[in-house]
Amino acid sequence: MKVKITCPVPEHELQAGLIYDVPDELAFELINDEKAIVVIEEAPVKTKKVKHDNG
Amino acid sequence: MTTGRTLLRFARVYADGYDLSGYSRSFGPLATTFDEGIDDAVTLSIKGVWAGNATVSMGALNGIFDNTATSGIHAVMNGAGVGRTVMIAQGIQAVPAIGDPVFAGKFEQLGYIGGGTDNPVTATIPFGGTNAASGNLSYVKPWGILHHAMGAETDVNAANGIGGDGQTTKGGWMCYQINAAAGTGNITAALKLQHCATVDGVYADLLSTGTLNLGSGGTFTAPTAGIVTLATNATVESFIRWQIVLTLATSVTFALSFHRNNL
Repeated sequence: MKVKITCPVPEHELQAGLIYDVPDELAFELINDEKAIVVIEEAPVKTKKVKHDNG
Repeated sequence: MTTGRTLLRFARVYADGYDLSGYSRSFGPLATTFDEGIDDAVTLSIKGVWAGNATVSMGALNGIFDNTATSGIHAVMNGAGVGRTVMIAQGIQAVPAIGDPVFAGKFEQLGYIGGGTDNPVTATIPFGGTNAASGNLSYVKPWGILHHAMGAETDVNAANGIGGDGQTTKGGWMCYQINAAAGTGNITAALKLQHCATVDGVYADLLSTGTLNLGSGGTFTAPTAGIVTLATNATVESFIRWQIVLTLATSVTFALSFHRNNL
């Protein structure tokens, strides 16, 4: 689970202001302790090829 | 926030959460100094400086000897050889308000010189450089901005932040001073700074103290203070505001500063 750290967690070598992918259990613990926030990932934008018809 | 010259009487001095303003006569120099290079060859015409290797110190705090239990300068500061989280908020032509300059850091208390030969009896506290455990050793700039003047809060902050000088990507750090708190059981709360690219946008957490337990059984334990540091490559948006999470606490009296790094 990706979280953004807002309070350094030296025992896990997590620096504030950076995004880490950490185990869910640790993520929930940090969020519950006001030391991290969830990073909401936007769904990838799907691209669609459009054929241009000059005829 | 006002700009311009100011007077010493508009400064406020906080150490480890205690408000020592009423006990302080003077302080300083609030210094950031860089060492000259000692490895420069004799052939060089100019002596270099070790940029990025600063010594930051708040000089000495000169106060009035007072042994009032739990709050007097003698009761609070008579132990030397420890790191003290100090914040000096310099109000501009008025008591410190949001946006005013702040000098802060965790400095080693080198001594305590109480008593004297004059009236009233004085207390002098010399400070050394930054304490090794301060957490902000990666930052050479002790000056920042006051984001919450010392005062009580009982609810979350919905106001817009201050700033507007653009996004930076070199981190920064915050200093908090908690002078009092109230609640009925465990007095738990977290202090935060939030940031946003636009002044009236959606603010996201930037820095947090984490949940602090400030007392139990409805009794506040003692004033406390600390420094919380961002990574030196962290992105900080243009506008910043204070925030509080009152988990079980009902009120927290605090001052909060942010020291944006742009060096």
